[in-house]
Amino acid sequence: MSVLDRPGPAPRPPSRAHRLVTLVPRTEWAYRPRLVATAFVIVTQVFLYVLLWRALYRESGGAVVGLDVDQAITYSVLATLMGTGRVIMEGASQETAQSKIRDGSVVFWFVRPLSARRYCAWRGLGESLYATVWLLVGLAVGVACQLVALPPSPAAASVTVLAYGLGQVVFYQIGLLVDLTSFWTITSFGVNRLVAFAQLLLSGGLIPLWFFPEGFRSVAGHLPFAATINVPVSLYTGRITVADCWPYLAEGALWCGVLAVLSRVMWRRAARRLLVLGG
Amino acid sequence: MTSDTAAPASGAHPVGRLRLAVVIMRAGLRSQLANRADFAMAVANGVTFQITVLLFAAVIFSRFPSLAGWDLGEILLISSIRMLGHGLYMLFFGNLGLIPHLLREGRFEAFRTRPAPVLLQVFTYEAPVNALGDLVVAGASLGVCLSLLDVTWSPAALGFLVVAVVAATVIELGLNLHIAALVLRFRGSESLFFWLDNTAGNFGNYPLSVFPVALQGAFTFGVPIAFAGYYPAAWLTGHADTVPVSPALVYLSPLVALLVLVSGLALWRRCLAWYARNG
Repeated sequence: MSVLDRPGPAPRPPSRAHRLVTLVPRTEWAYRPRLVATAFVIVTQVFLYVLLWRALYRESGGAVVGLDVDQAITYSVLATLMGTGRVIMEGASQETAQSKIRDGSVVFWFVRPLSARRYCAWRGLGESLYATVWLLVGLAVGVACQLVALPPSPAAASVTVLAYGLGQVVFYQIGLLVDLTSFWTITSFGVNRLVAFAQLLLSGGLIPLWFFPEGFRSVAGHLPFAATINVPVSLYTGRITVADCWPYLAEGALWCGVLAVLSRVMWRRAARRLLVLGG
Repeated sequence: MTSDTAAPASGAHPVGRLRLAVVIMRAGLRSQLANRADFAMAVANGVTFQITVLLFAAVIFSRFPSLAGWDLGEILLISSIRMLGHGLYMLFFGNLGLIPHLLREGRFEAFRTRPAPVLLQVFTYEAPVNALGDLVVAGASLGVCLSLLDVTWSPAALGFLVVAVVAATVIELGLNLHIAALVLRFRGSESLFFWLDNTAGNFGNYPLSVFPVALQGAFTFGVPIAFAGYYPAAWLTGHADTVPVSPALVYLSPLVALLVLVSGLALWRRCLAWYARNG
């Protein structure tokens, strides 16, 4: 925000662009009830899922599709922390193409000394880091309360971090592609909801993908959504071993590349057909 | 619902509120039909949301077939009552969830200056087309459930089912009124709408007896989503003697709905008055 208020001397604007990383956290801080509501939603959701899985495993006993109760709960807690946090803060800063096109201020994205693509990328990085802080706090509390088991080995923890990073890039790119459709449709609300549905179902955010029938799982496993939650959480819980992780990580990296190319193409086309309502 | 008028008396001939609502809704529907793609997308959104809920229940049931002695048809009855109530809520009152958006765009201020109740203007702000999708899935779910159930549908049982669905609608309205009021009072707390949707959708579809006592109490006396599906379904399927606390609870859905509605309206009025002073 501040880089836009005070653009600074002409030769140096790129050096200040990194300050956009704080845009989302500062917006959240400006509306403090959001922080309380986010904490309430995350804590209660985690608590409810833990109780549900415990109740279900108590009824059935033993492992189900290879997941024991501790793995299922760890999976569920991490998936809730990763998924819910992102959903809640989606559009928190209101710096989305959809809202900017509606009020006409999208034009400012294209007249600043910083490209719109970079502006969104820095803001997206801040959103990811902010979501990661919530995840780490939740993880620490979960481990302290013995809800979340530790990863099976340091190597598993390392590849989990790598997979999580790739997942965050995929998260950002999917959100960006949906948002950019606003340049053609004025509102991306409908597309947004449909993608949110796909994201919830195909990422493992609602139900671990391991519980789905084999055919569904094998298709969902190769879509980009799986890279956002299922792969990092499966690595963390040891459901995917470190020895078997490389194809999953390669697929995640491939999706990052494909989505980045797609979004770049969309940015170019979007800028060409920029429509400012009332302007 | 009718006494929150914040507008001055008008000199014009008063129009009945129901008539006013119908006229505004018809205009909203026509405006949405102007863009057929948006219309189709909105209906599809309702369908996908409910499919997510049903899939969650189906996957859980396929992996954990024994749920406190309830079979699939009986569990589907719980979710069918809840989903029909949700669909009707979305159809008539679902625009409550748009309040954060109305506040952000400054449109809520205009509602307070017009000679019509604020809530009526919120409810009729736009045609809730996605409710059609919700109702289609809820109807299909009820159809499947009725084909699986071995229940004699006497006039009393059918009447009980209708009352249960209406009570589920009113309970959802009452709970959302509480949240809408909090959003007026504490800007940024809108994620509570997501929380209620998610909690009712994912935890309101199971026999209460699978959950620990604390959660049974919370869903009965705190956020009474068990009255929007579980308790009436327990009577209809002959599980009344297995409900927690007292079998009398299976008859109390209408009373609980009334209490939640009255309490929701009271909080709404209080927070609207606060908003009028400070907003």
